Amino acid sequence: MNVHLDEDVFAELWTNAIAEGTPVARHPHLQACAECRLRFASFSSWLDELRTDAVADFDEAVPAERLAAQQSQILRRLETTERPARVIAFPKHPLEAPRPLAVRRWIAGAAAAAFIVGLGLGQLLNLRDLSSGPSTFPADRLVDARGASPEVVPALATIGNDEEDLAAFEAAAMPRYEALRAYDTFTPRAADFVTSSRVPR
Amino acid sequence: MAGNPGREADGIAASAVKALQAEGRLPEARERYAELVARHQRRATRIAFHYVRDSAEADEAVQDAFVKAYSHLSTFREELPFEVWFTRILINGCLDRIKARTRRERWMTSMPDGPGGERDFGERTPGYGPSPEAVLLSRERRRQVAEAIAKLPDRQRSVFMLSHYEGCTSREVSAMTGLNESTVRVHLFRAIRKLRVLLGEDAGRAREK
Repeated sequence: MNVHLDEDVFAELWTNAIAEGTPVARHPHLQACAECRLRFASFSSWLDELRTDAVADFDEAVPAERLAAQQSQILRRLETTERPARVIAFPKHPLEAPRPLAVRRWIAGAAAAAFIVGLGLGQLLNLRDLSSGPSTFPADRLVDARGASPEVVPALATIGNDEEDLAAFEAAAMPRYEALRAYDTFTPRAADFVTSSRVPR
Repeated sequence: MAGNPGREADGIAASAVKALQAEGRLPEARERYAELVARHQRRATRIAFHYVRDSAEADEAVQDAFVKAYSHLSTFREELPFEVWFTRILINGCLDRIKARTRRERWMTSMPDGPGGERDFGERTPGYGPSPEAVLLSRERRRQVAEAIAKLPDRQRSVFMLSHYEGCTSREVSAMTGLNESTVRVHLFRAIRKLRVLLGEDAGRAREK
């Protein structure tokens, strides 16, 4: 038998042996040819060396202590995985229960009405004139500067008109029925509040 | 590769953990699962290391695989060996890591190694083993082997490592990788042939010395 086995056949023999988990099959040519037997032994030892090197490489890179640390880390992680997630309350203290919708509507309505009434009163009454003493309000300074500058003249004219308008409003607001006038007398005016608030205690 | 008694023990332990989890007896389930971890940890780390070629990353991959296997133990079917089921989870995790690393390396540059090219302190620590020259030669040979294996296509590499390093049969490798048995054999054959081409001459030279 002159034809020797090539490395592909060796590889195939090895593949079959490894794949089936059995020892390398005894090829008839290997039993007969000493040269091929020798070459195959060399091929086998080369493959064995690869495995030995791989194991040595691993042992050097991952020593036993590292494996022990890894094991405890795995168990710790398992424990953490099972622990239910902690929910952090935010805000820490629960908010007060919101007021019922009807109450909130009443509050908003009352606030809006008070604002409108206040705005109307502010337009109708010149509360500043009721106060005594010099005012620091800029519009008052315009009044004091009468004649000093031509720009203040229209403002004075406006003030005169306001007074007339207010008198007209007051006359219109007076009850026409005699029976109601007594009530009107008792009802405090906005000016009374302003005056009382400015009286030094 | 563990024999049948080991596999039976694995199956029993996995079923017990599954039952304990279902009953809500979690500390006991963990304790029982620790047996499985202890039994498969070394082999799992070796497989992961051969895949990712970095001890820290292999460590993380193994941890992730064990945690994932524990969390999904309810999907484990008893007719499949635990080892095979678990190894599949591990390999998928390793392949994901390799993909992520390749993507990272495409966009980022890593810091260079130390002056001697060392990777960690352990490699610089003197020992009482073989001579420095022998250690250096051995390390150089291992580096060449690792480089050659890294040059193999993914499937060939997986099949070669599982078959030759871990001693799995083609049927087991088929279950772990999802490849046909015949495909496993073809990949194994090609991997051996290619490695022989890549390392054959160096191996021959080393033996002559």
